[in-house]
This record gives sequence, structure tokens and C-alpha cells, in this order.
Amino acid sequence: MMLPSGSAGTPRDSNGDYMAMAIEARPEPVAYIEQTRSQYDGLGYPPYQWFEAEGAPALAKISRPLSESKLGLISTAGTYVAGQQAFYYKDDASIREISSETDVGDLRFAHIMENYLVEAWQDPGVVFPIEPLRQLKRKGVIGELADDFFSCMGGIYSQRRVNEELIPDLEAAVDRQQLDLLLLVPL
Amino acid sequence: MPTLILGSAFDILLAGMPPRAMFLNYPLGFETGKPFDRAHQFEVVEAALAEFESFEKPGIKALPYEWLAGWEMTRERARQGGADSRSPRDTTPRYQKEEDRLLFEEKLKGKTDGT
Repeated sequence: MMLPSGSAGTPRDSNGDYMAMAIEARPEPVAYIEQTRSQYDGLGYPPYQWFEAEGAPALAKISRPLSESKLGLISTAGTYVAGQQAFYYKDDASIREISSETDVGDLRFAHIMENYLVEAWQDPGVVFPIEPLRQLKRKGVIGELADDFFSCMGGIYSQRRVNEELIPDLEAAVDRQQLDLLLLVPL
Repeated sequence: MPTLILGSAFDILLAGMPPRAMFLNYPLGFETGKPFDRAHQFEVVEAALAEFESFEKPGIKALPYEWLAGWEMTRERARQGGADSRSPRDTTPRYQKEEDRLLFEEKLKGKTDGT
């Protein structure tokens, strides 16, 4: 195993309980944390706090294969459907339910990282894989899709609101879907 | 519940140590593939999900795709102030299209009127 050195960081888990596979592709992964810290420092804004794990997590056991499983999706791209209220930029901890049958042309995005959405605004398939998931269901690779997928704002400054509002709401929403597996696509 | 993350920010993934993560070494904003290439988007999602059951311990695996479109766009984004254009942080919904705002307000009005 080779971790990219330096700017992309190394895990704090030194017991070898967390695996990070060799990154063969070049260039070396972009160091987003460092990049954003220096940008915010330069502008005089307080630093953005990413979640930092204390150690390697447990691996939840998979009870049945994907082809027999009901799969859900959570996107943090600020996805909403035309007709729903868009996300706002000041610590929006709300979620949107997005039917897994939604027409791709009705998908929209509102996220504080606007410059990362330029292409998604034209082709939602770059961050919200609703069409590939439907194709995989039709092919029998996925057993079943959740009736509703979920989306939230991926840029929230208040970790309190994330922990006390967003995560419990997402957990309850996911529970209602009675899923076997969950795909997460962060922006 | 078993989860799988498909993401493109390696350092942020590493900080969070998710149980199962597939890393796609593309610029942010293309976590599920290149724009206007449905076949490729399907391939990326299929390849990521194919690994769901393969994790014997928690960690991050890399998908074997290379961003050939050039990384100049990331430098260009940095020149423009980074990903974050620092639009005002307020509670005004940021509709992608003005017609979305009108559609939502129309629906809200319908609910309020009971129509």
C-alpha cells in the first residue's frame, strides 16, 4: 500500500486498521483541505472544519448481495427537483426527497461551492447518478432501488446543526426506505 | 447499514475514514463521471458498486479511471477564487433557474390557498 505523500495527507490511524489503496493515477490527488484553508485564511474567513475521524470505523456486515438488495442514495450536492425549494447558503440543514423515478431534466443543484456545479447544472449525471442506478436495476445488478433518494447541502459551517438536525433527519428518512445498502456521493 | 462512498476528494475522504470508499481521481464536481458521457457515467457507477461486497476491512479503494481532459480547469477555478465563489451566506434559496423559484412559489401558494 502506498499513500500519496505530503499534501493529500495521511491517516491518523497508525494501527493499520484503515486501508488506503495505491493511487496509481496521476497527477497526485488535489489537496482540497489545504487549498481551502489557504483560500479562507487569505480572505480572513474562519477555517472550514471538515469531519475528522478518531480511528477506523467498524465495517457493517452486508447481509445479501447487491443483486438482491434495496439500494438508497444520498447526495451532498444540494440536489433538488424543479418544484421543490432550493437550498440556501447559510447552514441549510434541510434535506430533499428525490423520487428515484425523477426525470433527469428536472434535477437542479444549489451548493455553496458554485464553481464545482457549472457542469452539473448542464448534466446532472456528473454528480447525481440516478440514470446509472436505474440502468443497473434494469440489468439486475441492483435488486431494488429506494422509492426516494435524498440530498442535502454539503457545505455547512455549523457542525452542531449537522449533528443535531441534518444527520437525525437523514437517518430517519433512510430508515423509512427500509434499505439494505446505501450509496453516498459527496460533492 | 452498509454504506459505500463514491468521492473525488482523497484528503477529505481520508480525514473522515468512511467504512467503504471508492476514490475517483477526477476534479470535484465529476464524482460520477465525465459530462455528457452517459456510457462512462454508467461504467463509473457500475465499477464502484461492484466493489461494495469486496471490502474485508474499512478503507479507500481507487477506481482505475484517469482524467484526460486536463487539470487546467482546477487551476482556473483556483484563479477565480476557488470552488467557493463566496456568495452571501444567507437564508435565501438559491434557485438554479428563476423558473424553479416561480414553480415552487406557485406550489406553495396552491397549498396555502387549499387549491
